[in-house]
Amino acid sequence: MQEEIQQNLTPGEVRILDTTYPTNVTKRYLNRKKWERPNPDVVLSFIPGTVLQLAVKKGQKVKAGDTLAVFVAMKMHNTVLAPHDGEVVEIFVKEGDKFHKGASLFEVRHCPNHES
Amino acid sequence: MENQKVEELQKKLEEAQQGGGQQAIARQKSMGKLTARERILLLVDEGSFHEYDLFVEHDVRDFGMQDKKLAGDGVIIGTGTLYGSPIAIYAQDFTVAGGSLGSMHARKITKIMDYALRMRMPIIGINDSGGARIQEGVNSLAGYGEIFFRNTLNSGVIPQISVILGPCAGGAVYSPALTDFVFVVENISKMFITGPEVIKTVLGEEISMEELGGARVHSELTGNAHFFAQSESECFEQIKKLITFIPWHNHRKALAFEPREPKAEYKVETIVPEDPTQPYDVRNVIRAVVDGSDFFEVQELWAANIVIGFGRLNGDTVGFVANQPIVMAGVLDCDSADKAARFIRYCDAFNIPIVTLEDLPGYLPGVDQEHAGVIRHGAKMLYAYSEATVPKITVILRKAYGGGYIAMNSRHLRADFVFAWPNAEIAVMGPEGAANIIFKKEITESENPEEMRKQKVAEYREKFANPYVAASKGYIDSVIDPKDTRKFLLHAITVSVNKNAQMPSKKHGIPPF
Repeated sequence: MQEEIQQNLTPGEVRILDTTYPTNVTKRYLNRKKWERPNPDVVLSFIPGTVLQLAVKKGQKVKAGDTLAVFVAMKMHNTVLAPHDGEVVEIFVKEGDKFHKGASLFEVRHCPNHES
Repeated sequence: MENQKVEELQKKLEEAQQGGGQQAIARQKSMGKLTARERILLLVDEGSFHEYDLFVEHDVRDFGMQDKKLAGDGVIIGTGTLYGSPIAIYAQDFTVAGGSLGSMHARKITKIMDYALRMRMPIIGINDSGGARIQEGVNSLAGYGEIFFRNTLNSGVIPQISVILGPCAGGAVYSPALTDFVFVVENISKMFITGPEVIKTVLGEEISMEELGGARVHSELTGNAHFFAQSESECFEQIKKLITFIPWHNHRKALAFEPREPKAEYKVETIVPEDPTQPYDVRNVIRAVVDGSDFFEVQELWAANIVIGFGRLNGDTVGFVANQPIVMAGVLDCDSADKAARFIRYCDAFNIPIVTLEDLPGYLPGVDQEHAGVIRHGAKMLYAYSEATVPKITVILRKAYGGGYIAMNSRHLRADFVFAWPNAEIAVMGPEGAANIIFKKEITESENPEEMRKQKVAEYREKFANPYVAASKGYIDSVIDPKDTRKFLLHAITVSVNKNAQMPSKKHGIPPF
């Protein structure tokens, strides 16, 4: 009598407050990502695009608001700005690279009192 | 002389009805698809289809189009009957210039949409088109805009059904998205805003059309589609079945059928386990109470933790909304709230009473849910239930905890009747959670905390996790023997047939969508 649901379901359990319910779970639930605290030093892309030009080198000191790179997204030129004063410790892309939304572009280690 | 004219007409008709010609038709068939004309004839009552605008021609003078004659400009429109009821229909013809939409093509579609609205009959749109006709430029975009505008105008007045039997890409997808029900067929339907080619060029992501926007994707993942079929003929059967459950327009009720008893194999009192943590298929409860155990599910594959669909009580159409404990324990989350809310609004717009079967442990906890906007999505359901003025009946089968209790058509959102089974647990949260909070001190300070915890949980369950506290306040009208569920539902429908509830006068509300 119990009809099978065609969706990709896996036997599992769902916990709500202090109670665990045996039930089928959806693929989407299984694939959910654990939330992690974002690293404020890592500059992420907010839109998919292509790197047109890098404006900094690894090791370079930058001030908040300095241009790190120019990229093309949706036919528009966009600039990536340094989030804070610091040193560019990692560049995850090179010119011509395509990146997806949420990709890491730069790591700028925050050092407020550096001499530039 | 007259005969000659008639012969000439016959010849013209035959020619135009050829669509894109033998070769294009053969190609259409090789893709496993029927032609536009075959589709219409399979859908409507035999001999009932009457076509209009067959001789419409495009008026494009550029890009060599002036020499091209496109049969019917790539779309067939007309009216017919379905089980004797009037129906308007259009079908894009992929064999004619890829079913591309130019201004005359769009004008034919908007014409039949206007007829459907004026004559107050349902409209079925069969989509099978490569998209905008590039040669027609902005006129093609204007055509889409005119269609979307009418979709919105017709929404909630006449039923609008979209059938995706081929590609439906770019702007074109927004017409189906604005209609009430979208039907898709495996390996045939493809819907997306930007196709695999563009995604590959821009992002370097490689994905097939099927994986990006195939029938399964829209049925399981996005919720854009409402009915999934393995073949076109199965799809047409689904459409015909749906039509029997819904009215011709918003000032009518769906046609009544001969009342039937549910099948004896579904015994309502044996389906729900007493232990509130044990799962079961709530669709069997629905089958145990509806006429002929005939339950027609909508969006079966998406957000399956809530079940929606149509059935009949005493011959009249009823919409069901039910928590589904075999999937995700029946929790409410973004998708399930979204799914239920839209269905509730559909039922309300078309005078279909709503029966809610409630058994839910609460909302799904998690960062992903909170950040996906479970507040906004969950609010849609509160809005839809509160706003609905059709008869609204709730049966609490087992758990009704916390915010979920309020959301599932509670008395407080103006349910007309709320019934509860005797083993219902209606409380601000489950006994375990509640006891741990209320008796925290007693439990931690006890010599045997585990023993004390068990005792307090049992105490709480005994005292509060039952339907009688809510019944003593009048929040529940009757605590009923599960065996009598159908009896109570039939009676509730019977006495609420002339329900007259009004919303305060307004242009429209601002639902959280």
